[in-house]
Amino acid sequence: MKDARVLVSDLRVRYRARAGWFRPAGKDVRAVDGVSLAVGKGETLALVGESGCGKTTLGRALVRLVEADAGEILFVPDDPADPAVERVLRDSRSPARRILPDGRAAVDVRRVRGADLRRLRRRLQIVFQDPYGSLDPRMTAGAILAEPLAVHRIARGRARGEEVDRLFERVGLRADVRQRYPHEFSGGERQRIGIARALALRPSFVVLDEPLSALDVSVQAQILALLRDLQGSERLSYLFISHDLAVVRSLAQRAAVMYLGEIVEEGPVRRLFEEPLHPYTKALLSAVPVPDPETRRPVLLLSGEPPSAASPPPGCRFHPRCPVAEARCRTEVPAPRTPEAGRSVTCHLVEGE
Amino acid sequence: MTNRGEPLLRVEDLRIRFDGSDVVSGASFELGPGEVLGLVGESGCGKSLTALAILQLVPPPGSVAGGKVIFSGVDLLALPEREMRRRRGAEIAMVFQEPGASLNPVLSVGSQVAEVFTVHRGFSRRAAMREAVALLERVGIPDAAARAGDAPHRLSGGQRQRAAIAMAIAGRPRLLLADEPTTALDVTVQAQILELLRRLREETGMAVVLITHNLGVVAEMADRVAVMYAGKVVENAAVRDLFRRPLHPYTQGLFASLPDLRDPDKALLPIPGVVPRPDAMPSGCRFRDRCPLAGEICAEEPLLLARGPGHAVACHKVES
Repeated sequence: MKDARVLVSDLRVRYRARAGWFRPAGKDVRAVDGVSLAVGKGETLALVGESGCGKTTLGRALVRLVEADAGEILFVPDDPADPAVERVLRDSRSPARRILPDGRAAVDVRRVRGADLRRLRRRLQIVFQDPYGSLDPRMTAGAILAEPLAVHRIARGRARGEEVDRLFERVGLRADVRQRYPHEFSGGERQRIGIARALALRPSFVVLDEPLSALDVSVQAQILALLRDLQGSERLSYLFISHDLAVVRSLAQRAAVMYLGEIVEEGPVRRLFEEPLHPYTKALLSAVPVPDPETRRPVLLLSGEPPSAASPPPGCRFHPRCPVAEARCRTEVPAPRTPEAGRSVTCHLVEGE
Repeated sequence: MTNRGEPLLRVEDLRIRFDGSDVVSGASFELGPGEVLGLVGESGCGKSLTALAILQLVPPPGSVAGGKVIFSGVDLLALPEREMRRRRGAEIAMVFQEPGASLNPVLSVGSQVAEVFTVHRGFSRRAAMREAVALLERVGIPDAAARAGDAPHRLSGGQRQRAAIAMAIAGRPRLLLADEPTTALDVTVQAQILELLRRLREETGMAVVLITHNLGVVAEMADRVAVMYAGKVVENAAVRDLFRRPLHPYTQGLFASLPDLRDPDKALLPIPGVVPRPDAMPSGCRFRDRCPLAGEICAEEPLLLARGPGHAVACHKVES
């Protein structure tokens, strides 16, 4: 991808099922099982899928809140002299330094350690789903926003206060709320604080993990507008994790569909929604209830529910629920193919290179 | 719109009070036998409490402070607990967002469904168990005879909701209250459960109050819709009328802020501000602080008035 900011290849995250007092050791859960993707500058890549498919784990692995077991996460800074990456990139012997085929310098996120990792985190941030659980109830809103600035020694004294005020204003909150505690805010306002906290360090890549799911529709639209506005002004790249396909369609340029730890289809949102190719994507899209009582559209009902990621089915992981599965789908693992430029589908029944 | 004879359920100006403030303050709607009413609104608007009040199950310290709930000619709010208990589960049943909420975690799924048959329909234990297994099969639980012996936690989320629905319909209720029955489920499983509810409604002829915040679910399932805002029903219409011509500014705002899967270029217009807290409700129209049309007259409380056939709106600014 031209202008890629984050490049992920063959990423794997496993949760180990250790034996407990009364629990025999189970099988490891392969939450993310060989995922590759790229997010461009100023682009939103949506990651969609049902609960348990591994989308949250993948998002957290990209910002090192969860450690991956294998694979590569490359971060391409806009400016190699950016203090967040400069030390790693200057050291030619650093194991985290990479030079891409096009000559740009990149940081191997999984190999960055210690103080270098702390500096790198300024550019890689995350916003969580739950605006109730992700803010410390004992800190005022102002303290919550000042904390990352203090940890990263970004602004001092008066300048820090001014920066906090700027952040409040940036996310549409009046600065006089800085003395209030999280419980004094509504859900939407709390999510604005969560977003402001992620922006405090001027990131370039932000993982948005279901940031709208806990909010009511009328408030969702407010936050959606804010996310779009911030992306435009700061040229942010988003990985937007969501199960709400209508929201995905309105925010993202590209989407990746995840099923049991794997990406089964990826492409431009417009094409993917107009003509989904993977049977799972088709089912997912057809299952979304349309807010129009005068259209009756056929729903492609899937049988059953996703199986456990601890014991994924052999062959294509989707085959037990797939309405068009054939004999080979039960035994052969499908390889991704390219039915048209910019799209990738992992299904035996889709034609393509 | 269906032919409207005598309604099965008529809720009239229902008021529910918590700690001195009216959390529900004027919920009015009705539905006929076999109809599906979508009760729509955002969190905290009082839609779940309204359903609980129909069953006289408002949790303390809340209490019903006024209004009527007429179910096939009888005001349920005036019934003694003994009478009410006979109707719960038999004539009116409920399913919840979390299927776990209606299932006992330590009893097998089958025995819980069977209990409805023994308590409300006088079956022997053996016959009740046989019926329970048949019903679990009917709601689409695979290998029902084996699953009937399982505790609820051994079932997946979708199967638990199926079991809760089986338990709810075991007493052959004429009215099912479904409180966000698919909100906790994934979209492909949601489609399965909606399909199941649709089929059961056709087979049994029961009426359904479907509480949801999802306008897509309403469009697919409901015959009529009541929109609630801050404890009041603000608009009430046949589903096609409401989606074609929403009249209340809040309903219009909901539609304008809803992203559309089919139209990615739709400009989303959020409703400014937030829902007022129950202890800080504005006088008069409760939506007026967020309403683009609000004027002086909105300081007076608007009544829910008919503005078209079967279409009632509580707004001063709507023209008849």
